[in-house]
Amino acid sequence: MRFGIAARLGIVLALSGMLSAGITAFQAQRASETVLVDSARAELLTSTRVLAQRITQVREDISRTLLALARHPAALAALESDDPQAATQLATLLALPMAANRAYFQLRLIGAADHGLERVRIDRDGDALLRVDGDALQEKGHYPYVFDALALAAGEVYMSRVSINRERGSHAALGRPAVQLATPVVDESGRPRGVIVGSIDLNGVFALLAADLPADFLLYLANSAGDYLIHPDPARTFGFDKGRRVRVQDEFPATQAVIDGRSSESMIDSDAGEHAQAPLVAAFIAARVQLRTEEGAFILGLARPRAAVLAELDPLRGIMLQIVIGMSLTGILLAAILARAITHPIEVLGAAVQNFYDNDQAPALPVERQDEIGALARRFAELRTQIGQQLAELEHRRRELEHLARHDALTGLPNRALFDDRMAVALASARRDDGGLALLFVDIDDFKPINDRLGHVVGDRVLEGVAARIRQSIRESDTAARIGGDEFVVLLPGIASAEDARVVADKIRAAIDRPFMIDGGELAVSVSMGLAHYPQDGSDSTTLARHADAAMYRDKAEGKARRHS
Amino acid sequence: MLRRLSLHRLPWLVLALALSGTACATEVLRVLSWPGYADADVVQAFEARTGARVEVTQVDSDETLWQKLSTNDATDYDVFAVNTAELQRYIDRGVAVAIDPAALPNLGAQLPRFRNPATLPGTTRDGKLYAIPYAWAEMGLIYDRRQFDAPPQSIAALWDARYRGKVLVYNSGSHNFSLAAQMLGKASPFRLDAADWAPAVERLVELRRNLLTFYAQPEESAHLFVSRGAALMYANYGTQQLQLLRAAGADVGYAIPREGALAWLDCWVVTRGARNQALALAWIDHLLGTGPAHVLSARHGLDNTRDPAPHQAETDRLVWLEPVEDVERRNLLWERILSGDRGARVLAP
Repeated sequence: MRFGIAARLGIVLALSGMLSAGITAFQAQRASETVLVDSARAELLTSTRVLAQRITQVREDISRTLLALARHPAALAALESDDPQAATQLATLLALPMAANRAYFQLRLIGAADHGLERVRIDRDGDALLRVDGDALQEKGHYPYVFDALALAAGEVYMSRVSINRERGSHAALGRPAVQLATPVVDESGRPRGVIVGSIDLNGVFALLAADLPADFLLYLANSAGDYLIHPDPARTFGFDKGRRVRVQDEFPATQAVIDGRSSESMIDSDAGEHAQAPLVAAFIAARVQLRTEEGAFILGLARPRAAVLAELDPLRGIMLQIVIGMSLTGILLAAILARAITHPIEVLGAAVQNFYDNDQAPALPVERQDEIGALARRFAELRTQIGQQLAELEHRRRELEHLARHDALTGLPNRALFDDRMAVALASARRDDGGLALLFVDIDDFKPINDRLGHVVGDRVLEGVAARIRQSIRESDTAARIGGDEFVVLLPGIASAEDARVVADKIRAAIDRPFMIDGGELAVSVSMGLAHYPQDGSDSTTLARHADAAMYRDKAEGKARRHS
Repeated sequence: MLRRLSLHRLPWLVLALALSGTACATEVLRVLSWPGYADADVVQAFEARTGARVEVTQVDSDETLWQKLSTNDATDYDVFAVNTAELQRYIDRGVAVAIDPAALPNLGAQLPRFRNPATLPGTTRDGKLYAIPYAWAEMGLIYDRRQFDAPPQSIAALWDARYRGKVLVYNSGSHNFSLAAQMLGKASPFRLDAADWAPAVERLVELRRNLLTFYAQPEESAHLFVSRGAALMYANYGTQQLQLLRAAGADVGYAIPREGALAWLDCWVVTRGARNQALALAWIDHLLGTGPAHVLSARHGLDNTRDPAPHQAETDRLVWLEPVEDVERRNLLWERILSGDRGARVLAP
């Protein structure tokens, strides 16, 4: 494929236009992405903090409930007496918060006596609340939520580690992630007699708390060691319960600082490891628990797919694409115009070269331009003028040479060669038109003596004068020629008869008979003439010439006789 | 391109294949191992000595080990490590092959208790040796010296009301029923007869009532022991817990009860699919040498079979773990006991 300069220039210009537009759009997008991701992380961090505050509020709500129950006289009464009435009254009280808040798996009163035997217990069982009683009550003294809570002062709340509930017979809570909050029930002397224990549904609480988070937010919760408790992939939670560790710092290495306590928060752009395919933007914070607990702090995090964050750029991308396309099209258009502006004068110059000899055909050269093209055009115009002048001169010379070849240099009359041509043409024409023509020989009498006596210059002047007078005496269409030293011949085409030709001959003789003024003196010159007429006297030029020649010699002889008589 | 390759480069391919064939001629030993049993330096020493190449595959659970060896007729590995309790099903399945002790010069350097098959139930069958003891640990008693005048002599101390609320026990159905069986004086703690279940459950409920709590991890146990002022602990992780407690500044002692401490013993076994049995035996013999044995105890805190264990006497009784009579039943009953069920409810169907 061949490209002209215009096409190549156009492509280069269009490409550079597209490239610059593309680079601009790319840089703008990069900058926008950075801004978006930064603000997304900040937003995630804020959301995480808000979530942590809500968790604290929920936990405080539960704590207040437990404290209220622990202080209620029915709790102590149920521990100190075997009166079923007291237990029933407390059971009614325990059922109230459970009915109001689905976050409770269980609410229990557990005694310090009898190896931590449960005294009053309400379980959630599906949608129903179930009071567990009698033989089904279990001894829980070996659980930390009992022995550690019993060690607390009145008004303090204990929180257990978050774990999978393995306590058989716990109904809805069995096998579910749960955390126990507990507070002691003390008697008048301040002695702990038992504990009120609330078993909290971890996933239920977080499902409520995270309900109004945007759908693409991913929620993470880990314990102080980093073990996942909540993860978008439930299979990765409570790994320690299955004998393996699945930890947040393994998935998000940057959270190590939060787990070590070196930092209280961590904003992460996770695009390595398992997130290489689908990068996440995330924020993690350490949420300290203001309770008596083995759990130190929780690592709470929210993440969003980076792709979802950047999806906000889609409208901008559309606009940028339009700008790129627009700028590219403009570039192509400009390139086309520019290419045309450059190549058109070149085409004009080309046409001028092509029509070098014909100034009328060539388009006007852009000589008025002030740029390189103008200079080139001006040079070219000069060149054309120069060459034109030289060519004209050559033509002139050629014409002169041609004229000289076919004319007599002295008199300017056609010479024999030209005369023969015209004779042939006239004869052919006469034959075709069935017309006539006349051939008239004119010979200057006694010319040699004039030459000898008066000199060649005078002789030449005589020849010039005779030629001029012959020319004056004939029609435009007739031809007079000098064919020898003092011999002239006249061709009279279109002469119908010899009589008409004789009239012309007489006119010539009369003109020549007038004296010639040469160098201030008069000189009389006479001529002898012979006439031949076609078709009367011959049908070809040779015959006609012989006839005319013969007639002329007769006339010369008669003239000599006249002059000497 | 393909045609060019096949036509013009065929000689090179043949040559390359021939060369790679030569490379394959180097012996490769395929080892299925546990973390700490085939460290890089141990492997390199073996490779340097034999010129063979060792491919180590690590497993971290009995289930994974069984899965890898029960597929492809055990032809994927030459040698593997397994505990004596698990070993039995490998012998049953024919995965393990008998070993000629004469091929293992380093056997002579092992402690007497590991050289006598009679004291190591499970390593032999029908008079043939199937497994070479390598690493082990026992589950002794850790006690607070300030709360004990003399080291506890018996596991009965776990039930002693003087230490009520100050005892820590590992959370395991299998092991704790074995403990109860020892308390009941059973000949084998791994064999409970039908009449033994009720008294065993009764013992374990009593144990539950006497202790502070059950633990799962060594670090957790050490933390509980120190922070709650415990007096006695059944140390499932043995000396590892002892080291943790001493590191935490606890004044603790370690005792092997007269009933015998439950102990696990990992052995090396050659597979039926071993390509080169001599090489597999050379690997086992290499691991019995002083270097690997030292790596095992110094680097990983496990007992080796050459050096006397630091916290016990040669005469202390060890009860090597064996498969229990009904692991599902033990676990079900244990979960009920752990959850706080009382008496008859534990044994309810």
